[in-house]
Amino acid sequence: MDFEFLSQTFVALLPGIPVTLELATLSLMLGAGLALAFAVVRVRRLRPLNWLVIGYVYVFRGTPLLVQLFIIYYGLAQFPEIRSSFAWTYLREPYWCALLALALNTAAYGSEILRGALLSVPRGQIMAAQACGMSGFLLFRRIVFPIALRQALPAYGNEFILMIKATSLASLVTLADVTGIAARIIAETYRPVEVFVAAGTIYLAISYGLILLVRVAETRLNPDRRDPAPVAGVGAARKEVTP
Amino acid sequence: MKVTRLTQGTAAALIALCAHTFLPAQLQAQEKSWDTIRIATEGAFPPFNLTRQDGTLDGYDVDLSNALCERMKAKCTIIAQPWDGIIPALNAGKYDAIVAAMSANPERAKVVSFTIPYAAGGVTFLTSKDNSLADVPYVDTLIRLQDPKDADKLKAALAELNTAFAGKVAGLQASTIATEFFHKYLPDVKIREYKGNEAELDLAAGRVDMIMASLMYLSDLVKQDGRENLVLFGPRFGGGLLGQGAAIAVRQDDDALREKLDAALEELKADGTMKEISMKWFGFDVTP
Repeated sequence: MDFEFLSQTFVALLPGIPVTLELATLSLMLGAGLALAFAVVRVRRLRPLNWLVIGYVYVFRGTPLLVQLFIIYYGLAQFPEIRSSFAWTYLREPYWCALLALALNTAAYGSEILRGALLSVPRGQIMAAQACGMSGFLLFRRIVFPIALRQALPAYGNEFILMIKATSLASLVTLADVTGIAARIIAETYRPVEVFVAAGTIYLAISYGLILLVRVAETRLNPDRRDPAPVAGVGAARKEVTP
Repeated sequence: MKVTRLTQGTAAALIALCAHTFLPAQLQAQEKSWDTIRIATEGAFPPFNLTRQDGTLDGYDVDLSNALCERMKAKCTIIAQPWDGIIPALNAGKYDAIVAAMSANPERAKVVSFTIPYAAGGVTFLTSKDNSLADVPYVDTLIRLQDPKDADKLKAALAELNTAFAGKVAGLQASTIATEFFHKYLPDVKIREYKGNEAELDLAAGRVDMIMASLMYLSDLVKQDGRENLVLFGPRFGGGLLGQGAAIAVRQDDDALREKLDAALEELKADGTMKEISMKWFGFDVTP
């Protein structure tokens, strides 16, 4: 292993990190929004929307992300109607195509995670809230959603990490993310080992940061599951909740 | 560099070990005298090499490989390998030779050995008829990059291209001489790099304004059904970093194989077999 080349490659790959992070963040945010809407439709069984969502999830979970990306990028471009439409302003750019494919894909997986989480909210807690006079959106916002979020977080954390890695497919539609730059360096140097090791390290570091973030979020959302703190800490925490 | 060789050596040793364990004994004995040769091609660059719908490989490279093997009295297997990993896999010992319209350029010659060229035509540009680049005329004389006689022509051509390419995007296949050409001679032009030849799809879709590739490949492409909208334009370049033409690549320590291939290529050139295969696939003679 040539360490000088390895470190040069590492530096050369750094400009790809913002692209990778941006793609992952935006697609996860868009995807999570869609996923929540889809999950509510599924849980509430809002027909005919419910059937549409079931079909959507089936298609997007049942086909490879690469195929979805190629259909959106190369497939849609085949139709002159699309090329002359307003949508072409966005679909022309590889960036938006990649973002769309990633967001639609994660929305399908995310909606199933959130549906499971919504269904796991104990009936008794909902009834208790109703007894206090809450209903509709207020009940959802104050009781159902926070509890469901807690349930969903570990599984959704998985989805975060999967999406970070899935962004690497964007390089196949010419985007210069970490993998895209890596492919370019390999094309110029014919040295795949060092380049892929460097690229892998970057993904590993991003994933590690994400794992930490999810863990912090989990602890914050589940005060009851926090590690037993020193006695003084427990006292302090109690003081806060005592009216 | 030294350390890398060591890594490559280790990888080769590991692969050799695997081969030793899994290959039948008689096959191993044969490989040293090059009675059996494993050849890789891309299978996606017609008419040089292509994959038929039933999965079999065909094209100029494949016919030439078969003719070479017949001449060398060797038993050959030809496999398809994606372009972007074709050189690393050769050096890792996955096969022994690459016959894939690969231009023998200095950059590649650092990592592999090339035979004498077996096809030459230079590289040129392709755009669609509704693009303003189609107004740049196609010039059918080869400009040699490092030939002092062509220096003025090169300068004039590059100046013209730089003006014409303002605000345009080129779609290029990664790790080809075309990409190197743009990096060195047209560094200000925006390029997008593709894994295979998907740049053609994006040219048709209007995402890129032009592609650059071997004339032999492009002149066949424009003749195909449904490509009536594509047109060649601009000058034709060769030599220098673009190489002297397409050649067969082998590992740098396989001199015996390279010499054997060189001799067989000379024979095919001399007796007209190469021309015959060329006429079949290109309709014109690409013999260098």
